[in-house]
Amino acid sequence: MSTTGSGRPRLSLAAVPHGGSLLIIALLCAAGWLVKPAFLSPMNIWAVLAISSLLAVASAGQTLVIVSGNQGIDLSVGSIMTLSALIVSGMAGSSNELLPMALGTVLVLGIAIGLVNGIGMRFLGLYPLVVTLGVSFVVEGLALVYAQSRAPQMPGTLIENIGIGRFLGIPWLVVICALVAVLMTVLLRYTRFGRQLYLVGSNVRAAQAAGVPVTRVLLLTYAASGALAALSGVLLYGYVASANLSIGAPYTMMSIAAAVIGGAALSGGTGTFIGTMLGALIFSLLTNLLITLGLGPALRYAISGLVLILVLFATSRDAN
Amino acid sequence: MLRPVWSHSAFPAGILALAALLFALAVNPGLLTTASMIGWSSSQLGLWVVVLGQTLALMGRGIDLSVGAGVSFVNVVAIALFETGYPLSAVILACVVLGLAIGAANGTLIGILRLNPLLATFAMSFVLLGLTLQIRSAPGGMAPMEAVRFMNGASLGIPNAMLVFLGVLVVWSLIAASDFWLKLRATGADPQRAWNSGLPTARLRFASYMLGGGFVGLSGLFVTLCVGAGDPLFAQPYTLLSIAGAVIGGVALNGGSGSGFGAVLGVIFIGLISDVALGIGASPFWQQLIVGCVLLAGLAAVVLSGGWLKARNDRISREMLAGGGRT
Repeated sequence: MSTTGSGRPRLSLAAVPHGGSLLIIALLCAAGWLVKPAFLSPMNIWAVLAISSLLAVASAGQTLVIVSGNQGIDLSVGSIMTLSALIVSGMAGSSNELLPMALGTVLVLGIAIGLVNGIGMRFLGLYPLVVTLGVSFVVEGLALVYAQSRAPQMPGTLIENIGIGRFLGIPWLVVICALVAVLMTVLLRYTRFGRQLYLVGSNVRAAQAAGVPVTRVLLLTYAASGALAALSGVLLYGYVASANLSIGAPYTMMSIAAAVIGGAALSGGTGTFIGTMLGALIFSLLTNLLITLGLGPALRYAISGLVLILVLFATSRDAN
Repeated sequence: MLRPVWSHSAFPAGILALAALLFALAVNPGLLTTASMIGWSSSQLGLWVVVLGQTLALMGRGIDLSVGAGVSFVNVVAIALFETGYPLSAVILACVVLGLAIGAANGTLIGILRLNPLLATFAMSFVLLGLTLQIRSAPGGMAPMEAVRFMNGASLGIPNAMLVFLGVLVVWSLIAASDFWLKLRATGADPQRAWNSGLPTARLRFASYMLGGGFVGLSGLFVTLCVGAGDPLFAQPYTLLSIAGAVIGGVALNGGSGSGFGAVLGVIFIGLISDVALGIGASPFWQQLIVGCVLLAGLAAVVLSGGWLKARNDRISREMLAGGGRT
C-alpha cells in the first residue's frame, strides 16, 4: 500500500516496545488506585488478569488472522466460542470423564470452521470479512439447533476449576494464557511458519515469488484461529459456569480491538501476541475501573466506547 | 458501449430477491395480500432504510458498525420525546438531526481524525448502546397511536410503509445522481489517486458518514413509528444484516462500486429467506441455520459473480484496446 511519505513523526513512546499500551495500563492502574486503593489489591489484580487472560486467548487466533493480512479479519470468533461452550456443556454435562471427548470435538469443529473460512478466503477469493461474517451466521444457526433440546447444565468440577480455580495461587486462566503466550511467541518469532506468516501478511505477491506456500500458511492460520476460538469458548464456559446463545458474541469485536490496540495493523504483516495481551488487559482494566467507580452498565458502555476511541487515537491511526 | 443489464452490480441481488420472492409465494400464496404486505413492510422498513446509510459508508471505503446501536438510540430518544409531549413534526426533525449528528461524529473520527472505520464505529456503537440503555433499559413507552396506525395501514391497497420507503428512495436517487456521489465513489475506489487529483477526500468521507447518519436517523424514526415502542436492543441485528445485505446487493467492501438499490434488494432477499424458512414449516430453531446457510451461499455467489464479471470486462476492454485501438 502506498503511504507516500506522508507519515507524521511518531511519538517517542513508540521507541519503547508497547510503550503506548504500557503507559495506558499504568494510567488506568493509577486512576483505579486513586479512586480506591483496593483496586491494586492482589485479589482485584488477579481478577482483572483472569478476565483479561480469557480475552487474550480469545484474541490469539484473531491476532494470527490479522497478521496474515490480505484484509484478514475473523468475525466468526464469537459465534465459534458460543458453539463450543454449548457443545462442551451439552456433551460433558457435569461429568469430568466426558470432558476430553467434548474438548476434542470442539477443537476439531473449530478447526473445520476455520478451514471453511480459509477456503472461502483463499480459493474462492472472498473477502475475509464477508466469508467469516457469513460463516458466523451459519455457526450461530448451528448453536441454536444444538441448544434447542438441551436443558442448561452446571459445568463439571474440572471445567469449573479451570474457569475460576487457581493453581499455586494463580488463576488457571492466567496460567493457560501464559502457556498460549509462550506458544504464540515461539510460533510467531522462531518458527518457519511464523516468518512465512509475516511475509504473507506484508506482501502476498512477494511471499509467493519467494516460494512461501501461501495457501498452506493462510489455511493453517484460519484453522488455528478456529481452534483457539473453540478453546476460549471452553474457558469462557468454565468462567461463566453456564452457556447461553449470546455468551461469545461480544468477543468478536473485542478480540479485534485488543489485537489492534496491541499494535497489529489491520493491513497485515505486523503484530505480536504480547501486544494483544496488553490490549486485552487495557480493556479489562478499564471495565474494572468503571465498576470500581460504581457506574451502571449503561454508563460503562458509553465510557468504554469513548476511552476506546481515545486509545485508538493514541495507538493506531490509519496511514492513508 | 451499452452495458448489458446483467453486468450491473445489483443484478445478482435482483435475481436472488426475485427467486426468493417466487419461492416465498410458492410456500405462502397469501404473501401479496395487502394485510400480509403491511406486516412485512412495516417490520422491514427500518432495515431497508438503514442499509442505505451502510452503503454510503461502504462506498467511501469505510464501514459502519454503529448503525444498529444508532437506530436503537434514535428509537429510544424519539419515544422519550413523545412521552414528554413533543408533537410528531418536532420528533421527526429531532430524529433526522440526531442521526446526522451521530453520522457527523463517526465522520469526524474516520474522515478527519483518520481512525480505522471498523474500530472507530465499533467504539461508537459502545457509546450509543450505553446512552440508549441510560435512557431506557427495557422495552416500553408508546408512540402516538395515529402515526403507528398510519405506518401499519395502507392507501389504495399499497402499504403506507412501502410508500414512505418510495419517498426515501427518491431522496436516495437525488444523492446517487449528485456530484458528491461521483466523487465519493472515486474516493472509495482509490483514495490516493482521488486525493492526488484534487478531491477533498477527508471531507467526502466525513460527508458520507454524516449523510449515512441521516438514514440511521430516518430508520430509527420509522422503527419507532412502525413498532410503536422503544426497545434498546431491537435494532442490534441491523449492523451485520445491513453489511451482509449491501454486499449481496453488489456493494464492494473495498469501496467505489455498487448501488443503494442493489443494497436494498440485498436486504429484501435476506428478509424473504427468513419468511421462506418459516413458511416451509422449519422449526424456529432451524430457521436461523437455514437463513445462515443461504446467506453464506448468497454472499459467496454475489462476490464470485462480481469477480467473474470484472475479469470479463477487463478482458473485453483489453481486447478492444488491442484490436484497432479505438477507445
